[in-house]
Amino acid sequence: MTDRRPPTGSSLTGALLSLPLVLFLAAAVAWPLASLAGHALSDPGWRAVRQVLAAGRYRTALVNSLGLSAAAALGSVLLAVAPAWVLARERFPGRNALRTAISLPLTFSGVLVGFLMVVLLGRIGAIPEALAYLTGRRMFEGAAYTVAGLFLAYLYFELPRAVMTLESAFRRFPRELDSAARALGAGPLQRLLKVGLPLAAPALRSTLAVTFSASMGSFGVALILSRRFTVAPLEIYTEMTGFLNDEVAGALALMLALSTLAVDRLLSVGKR
Amino acid sequence: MRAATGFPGGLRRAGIAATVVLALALLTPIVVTATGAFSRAEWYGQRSEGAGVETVPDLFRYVTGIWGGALLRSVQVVAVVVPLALAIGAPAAWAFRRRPFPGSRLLESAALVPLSVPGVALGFSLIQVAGGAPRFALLVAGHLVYTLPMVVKTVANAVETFDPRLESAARSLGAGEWETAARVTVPLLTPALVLSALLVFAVSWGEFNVSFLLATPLLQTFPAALYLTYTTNSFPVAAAATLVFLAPVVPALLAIQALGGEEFHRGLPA
Amino acid sequence: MTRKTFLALSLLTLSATLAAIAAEEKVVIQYDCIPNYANWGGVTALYKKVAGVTVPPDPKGSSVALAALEKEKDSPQADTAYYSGAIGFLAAEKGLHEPYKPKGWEKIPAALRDPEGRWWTVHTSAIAFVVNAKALGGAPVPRSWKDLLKPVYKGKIAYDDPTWGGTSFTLVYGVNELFGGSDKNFKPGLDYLKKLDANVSSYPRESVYNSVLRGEIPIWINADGNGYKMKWVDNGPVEVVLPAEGTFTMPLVMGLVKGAPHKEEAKKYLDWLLTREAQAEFAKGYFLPVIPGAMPPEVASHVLSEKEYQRARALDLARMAAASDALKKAWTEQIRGTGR
Repeated sequence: MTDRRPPTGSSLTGALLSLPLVLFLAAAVAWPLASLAGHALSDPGWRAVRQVLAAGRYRTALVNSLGLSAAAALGSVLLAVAPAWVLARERFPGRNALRTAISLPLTFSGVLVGFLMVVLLGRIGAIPEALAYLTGRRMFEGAAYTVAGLFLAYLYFELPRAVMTLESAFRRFPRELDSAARALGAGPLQRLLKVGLPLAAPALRSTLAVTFSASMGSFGVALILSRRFTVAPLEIYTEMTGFLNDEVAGALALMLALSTLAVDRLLSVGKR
Repeated sequence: MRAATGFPGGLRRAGIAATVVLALALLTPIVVTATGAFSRAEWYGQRSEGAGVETVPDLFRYVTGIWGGALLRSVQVVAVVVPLALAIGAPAAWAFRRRPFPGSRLLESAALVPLSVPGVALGFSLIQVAGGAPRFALLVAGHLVYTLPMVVKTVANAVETFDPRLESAARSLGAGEWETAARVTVPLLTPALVLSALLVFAVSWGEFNVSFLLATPLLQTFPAALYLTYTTNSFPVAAAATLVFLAPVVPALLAIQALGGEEFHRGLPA
Repeated sequence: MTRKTFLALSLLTLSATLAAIAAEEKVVIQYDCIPNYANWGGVTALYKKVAGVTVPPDPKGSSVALAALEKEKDSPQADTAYYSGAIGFLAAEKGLHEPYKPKGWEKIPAALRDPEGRWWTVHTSAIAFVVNAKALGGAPVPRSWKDLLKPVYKGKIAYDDPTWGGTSFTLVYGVNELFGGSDKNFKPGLDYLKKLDANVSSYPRESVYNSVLRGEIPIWINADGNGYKMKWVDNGPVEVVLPAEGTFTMPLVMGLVKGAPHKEEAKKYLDWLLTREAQAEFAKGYFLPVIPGAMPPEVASHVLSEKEYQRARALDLARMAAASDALKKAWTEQIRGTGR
């Protein structure tokens, strides 16, 4: 960001104007999260945390969450590169309509995505029914309830996020560099590899972070689709509502928040 | 027309085609679902709501009948969350750029941290520390946590794009701080504020994770009601409810695009 | 828009909202009020018509309702709750209910109510296979628990997660007894359910009534009444099967929540639920009235014969309640597995 700060102006005004934000973040984010951590730490011997980290359903849920979120983040970023580039750099009729269509799922809750998945790939989903009609053989019946179905559902709500975030980054690329490379005789592929990708690396990393954290927090999709494969938010919900086990739910919530934050920090290392 | 990237026509066409395919893939399930409100195809299944739910208007009447309260609640939540998010986020965002103070950079990045905190974890700990507070206030707080970062980013980016000398000029012409704010800063920021409002609306309208955990039977937001509809109503009613949910979202997104997709994308969490 | 008008607008919407919240209509909060279960949708709509009181739908299953009441003990949000028998019994044992004997209480058979009025039955049901015959894809309608294990039903069976719903808890507990287990020994039941797992497509934590009706789930092990309603009210291609080896009856119970925020309205509502009018409305969802003589004759003619129902045995609520936490935990660990 270019530094065009005015020479005058007191920092007191700035602090005062930011005060509501500070107070809000303290009350609605810092306080609850600190209490979550406090509970876990004051627990004698960190029993609940140890219980969560010991082999078993809770640890599996955390590992599953990490794996599924990482896969969804990678998959969506890979698939998003081309559409994001096209939306950012090409002019063609219908571009805004396309962008609106792609951004629509950003407002969907996980439950809606889970429902859509059953509509498409449930036991009598639109896709198996259509394939059966076309080929006479039944295929992909009930795929929605498998781990692959869960992954597809995560891709569904991550792709819009990935496209939109990447697009905004691509837009800010200095075109001069591209033109310079072209003037030096570089072909499109060479320019993409030598100019585009190094420039894009921070954007790709931050897009990974965005999609990863959104997946880590999602629980509606798994609530609808998962049979045995479980994810951490779902276990938090089950412990809270089914077993009244606030200690374990709290420890799980803490681990989930910490691991998400840690991965996000890792991805932003080296970023300006 | 020459492609902006200088990509040869074939590659450009392939890229556009891939984008179209992606948009279609994302839209197909929505279209298939929404059609359920209008089609009598057997695949959509029997209606289990009784004799009163036959025609298309019946479906929508039924949805607004049972979920009118949830719809109203969502409108109320949005009506409170949008102005609050702007009132809290915009001045801070302006301050970060124009009146930086010790710790303001740290605060700015702290404002984005909530995006990495899973909604279930936050909802859970909110109930733990403030379970006695009115649930509506908790609901609003939960929505603010996830919408404030967008306001801060969008407004901060907009502040960056206009010349600070406009503000200094106003002051050197004798305008006070408030007058400068009212006559120069706010008008310059209006597009960004409107855009923020739309973004906050779009996210708040669909928020489920925190809402579901904090909801009581009297405090269902529409996405929570949508969940109930998917699980307890027949497909045609669920389809109609989905359309009711989408009705304000699509215009909002179109408006966001019309107001400059540039800002929209910068406004997203990055 | 200047900042002033903007602030004014925000204040306006804020105050309008607060005003709207303050002006609540008359309500009774019932935890576990799923519109498509036992015709609660019809019953609450009728109550709104006769009494002008709203009873909003609530998606919690029995177990989740119990957990919520326990969590909110110090500041109760609900007035009443509806459970499958054992869970309601447990809620009463945990001191979450306050004694109340609604009008008509004495007409409830003694075995189906607590002598002190901490819980009472509103209607009864039995565990059955609810089969969408058309969705079976040519496979025969299963007739027994043993049939369900056949590979032909792979991916076609669902029963609710018992940590969510009481109906499924009754099923899991009952199956264990049926196969020789007890409130101390869960092995026989869990062994059977482990084998059944190979054919199960999902363990829903939400009502899947419409998924069954639509054919997304061909076989749902749930309350018989839900199947009868699909067949006779919604005209679905549905058959209700009482398995050959035997099945279990299930009283569905309610109680007045201790410290209910709308206690007087709640009492009136609980009184009304035992009237002929309300009982007949439940019966339209094919859950049997607990008040003798309230069963509409056409409904009676739609259900399976008494002879068939002789295979349905009653379960001991006290023992079930005592075993509930351990059994739910064992089920979660052994059937849902390690979560992979």
